[in-house]
Amino acid sequence: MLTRRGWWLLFIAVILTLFGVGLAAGWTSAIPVLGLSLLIGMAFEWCLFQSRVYSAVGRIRIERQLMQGGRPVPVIWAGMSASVRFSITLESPFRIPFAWIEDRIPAGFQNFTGAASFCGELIPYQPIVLEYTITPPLPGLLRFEGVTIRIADLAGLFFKRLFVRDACEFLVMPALRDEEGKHRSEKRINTLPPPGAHRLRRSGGGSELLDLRDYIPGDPPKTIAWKVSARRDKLITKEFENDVPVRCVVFLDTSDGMRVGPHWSTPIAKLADCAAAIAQAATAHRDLIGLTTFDESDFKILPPARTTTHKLRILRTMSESASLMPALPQLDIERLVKASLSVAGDVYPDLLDSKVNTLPKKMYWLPLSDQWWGWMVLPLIFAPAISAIVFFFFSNIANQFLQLVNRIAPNGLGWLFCLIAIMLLPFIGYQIWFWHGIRGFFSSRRIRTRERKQLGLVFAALDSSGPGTVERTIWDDHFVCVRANRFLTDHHVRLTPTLLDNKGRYRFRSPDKAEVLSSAMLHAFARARDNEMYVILADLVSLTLEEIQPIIKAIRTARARKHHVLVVVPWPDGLQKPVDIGGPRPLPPKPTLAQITRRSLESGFSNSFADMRRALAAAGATVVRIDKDEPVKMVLDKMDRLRGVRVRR
Amino acid sequence: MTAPTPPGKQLIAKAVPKRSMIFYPRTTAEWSYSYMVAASAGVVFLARFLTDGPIAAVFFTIPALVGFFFRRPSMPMIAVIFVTYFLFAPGLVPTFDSNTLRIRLGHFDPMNMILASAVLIYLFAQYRLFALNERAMPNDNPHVTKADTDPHLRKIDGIPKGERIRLFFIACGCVVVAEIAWLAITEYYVEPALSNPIRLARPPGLENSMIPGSLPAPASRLLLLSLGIATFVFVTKMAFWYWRLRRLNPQEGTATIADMGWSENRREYLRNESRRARVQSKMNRDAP
Repeated sequence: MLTRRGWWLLFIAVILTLFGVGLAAGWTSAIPVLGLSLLIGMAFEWCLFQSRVYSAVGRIRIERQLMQGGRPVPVIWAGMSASVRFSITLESPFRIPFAWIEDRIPAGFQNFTGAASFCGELIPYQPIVLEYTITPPLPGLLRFEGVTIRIADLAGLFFKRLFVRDACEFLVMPALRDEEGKHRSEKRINTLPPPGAHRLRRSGGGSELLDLRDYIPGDPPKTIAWKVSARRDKLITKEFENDVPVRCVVFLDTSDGMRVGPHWSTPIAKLADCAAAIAQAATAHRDLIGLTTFDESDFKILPPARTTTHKLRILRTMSESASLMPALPQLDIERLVKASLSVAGDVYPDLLDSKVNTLPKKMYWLPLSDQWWGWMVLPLIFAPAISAIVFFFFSNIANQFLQLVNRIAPNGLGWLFCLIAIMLLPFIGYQIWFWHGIRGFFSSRRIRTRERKQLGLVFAALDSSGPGTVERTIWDDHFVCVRANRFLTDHHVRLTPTLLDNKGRYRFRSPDKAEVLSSAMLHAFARARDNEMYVILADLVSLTLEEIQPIIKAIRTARARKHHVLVVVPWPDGLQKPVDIGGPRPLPPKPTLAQITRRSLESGFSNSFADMRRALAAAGATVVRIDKDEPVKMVLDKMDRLRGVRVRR
Repeated sequence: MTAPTPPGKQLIAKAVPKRSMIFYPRTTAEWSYSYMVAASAGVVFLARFLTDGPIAAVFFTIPALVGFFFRRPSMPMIAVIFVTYFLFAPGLVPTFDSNTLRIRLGHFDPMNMILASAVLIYLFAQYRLFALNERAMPNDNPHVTKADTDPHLRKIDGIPKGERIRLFFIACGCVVVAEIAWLAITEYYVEPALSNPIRLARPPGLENSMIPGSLPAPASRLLLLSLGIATFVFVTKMAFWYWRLRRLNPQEGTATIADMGWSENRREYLRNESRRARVQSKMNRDAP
């Protein structure tokens, strides 16, 4: 509560008062009066400050709105700027003369425009309204935790930090692709089927002539080609092409590996953005679009449809997928604890306050009795007592032993040796007890215990799980890992994990997703009507050729049924593109370890991509990297081909 | 929701990009506080000059000027220490002419009260000025290591209406209360041997320190002072403790109860955790 300045002034005031009252009063009464005045002045300021703080706690109301297009919205669109407007109202009778109010801006928006902080006086029932603008680049989730309020007195002697929690989340929908959505192909009059349908070379109820055949009784008379019939002197019937809708199903990979990355730059966010562009363009052409999201364990289906509601549902699903957080149980636990504690310090300062979250010194002591072998030390400690019992109750044995000792060491030295030996045992026992216990006070263990205790109480308060959680957090690494991970996920905090394990393997490969994707594809084929378009947006580069065999089988099945398959894979940021590499790039004469590692990673990733591309191409799929808007254009071109239109570009 | 606060009042405190080494007041608020600092320091200077001569006055002025112009928060405290020292030893060297009669006759001395009020106003005004130009509150961001990376400054156009008068009355009030406290400390006496240990002091010349078995006068005064401070701290702490209890949010309440429960049954929970760890390790060992 006291600042450094405040502590110094209090120290001076106390010294002056003690000196004045105790010693200097005989010389002059000015010194005790001055010291007491200082003390009373500080006490008055402290009481005033405390009153203001306690009256403000729980009485600060926050209202937050997200504005886009000049009106409050529940969700916003990526690529468009949105205004965050929030008001803070003090609903207590005391004014706060000096407060620093700062919004906890969602991660990744450090370069905002506008005012996210306020410095000044908080007057009761007069709202402070602040507004700033952010522009989310990709779909995802915006989470606002609340507002930090720092209160100080005007002289800077007292200070208190409060956090007014007002957690709210806003979904960021994928960017609106107007130019793609509005784009229309060059329509050939009377040759094109209506939008949303394409010609199928099978007989049906379309308008384009497919074939002529002999009349079969029962054919509708209007289908008889009278001129041809007259020429051939027999009844000939016209067969028309079938008009069927163009259907596109997007498979979006939401496995753990896709969720890893910095805010607004995860592979899944990029893929979701790409998929959203495809979906919007398809909907603009009145084509049917479906979405299947899959991860390591399961898949979810949104069957193809063409309505606006369906499009919005798809976009919402993509946003939700893009906002998924990775599970990071592989992270270093201490790093996880420190990150969680940092977040807790920001968002839950009241739960980390020393009055609530106490840190008694005794918690650092490591009791010997908690070890199974600790009980073996007890006989050492009680060795003199045990010896006395033996002596009194088994005197015969003791006498024989003493005689033996006297014979070995005459002149009474045997007694002395016995005494030393008996006293040595408790000494050793106490040494073990002491050094075992005091290890808890050593720096690293002490910090670990303190951090985990603080974090454990935060978890106990959030989960209402009782005091057992505290001790469990201190000792159970697995529990800490899971709970801290959930805590960070809940608060939408992303940590950069170590991507490779000790053996240099990628940690987020998720090989099980190949089976799940294969099942999802087969499920889609089973409900397919004719040659359809399947777009797989997934990270298949990290999988080995053996692991993608189920996908290859599914692609072959698709091709056998005349479906089209396009695979879009994300490419990591900053990694050299295969086109740019053009063979092994020579390393500098004295390469650093980082350069060698980077080169190795680049070549390994490129080779994996090439192998995967070759295998999938052999099965009949087209593989592209997500690079600018190429996949979107490619998908739209393919859909145009299906529709029977020339290529767009 | 109302419109955003106008930019004029939306004072975004940021790090001062480049400030001059020597402070010169620019804004109205800085000028106002500077006037207060100068006036109160002038009164102190005058009081010291009239009472103990130019050396005492100059020794107060130098750190006060350094603190003002070079924004050194430690300097006002040093100035106060100098004031105290020269009150104790006007001629630089203590004279050792202690007289208990001075204590009893020195209550509500106008010069002392003026001096104490001026020092108090000087300190509070100077620290308010530091809040404008040096630092208003500590930077509690643990990630910032450099002290002056982003000092939180109080940015105001002008000082609030009535603040000067309030500050003056608070300082004078504190001095009056201090005088009353000093009167109580000196006029009462602690005699531990008696059934009623606190009683009125004897008239001058019959001080208790002369009576065998009684406490020396300084010890009695310190005891009374400690008693007063302890009473004040106890009462205010209890009041604020109760206020805080009334203001606990549900999570704080849960945390407080959990913390107490953990503190009482820590060993039991620890035993459970040890057992759990043993079972877990055994399961891991037995797992194929």
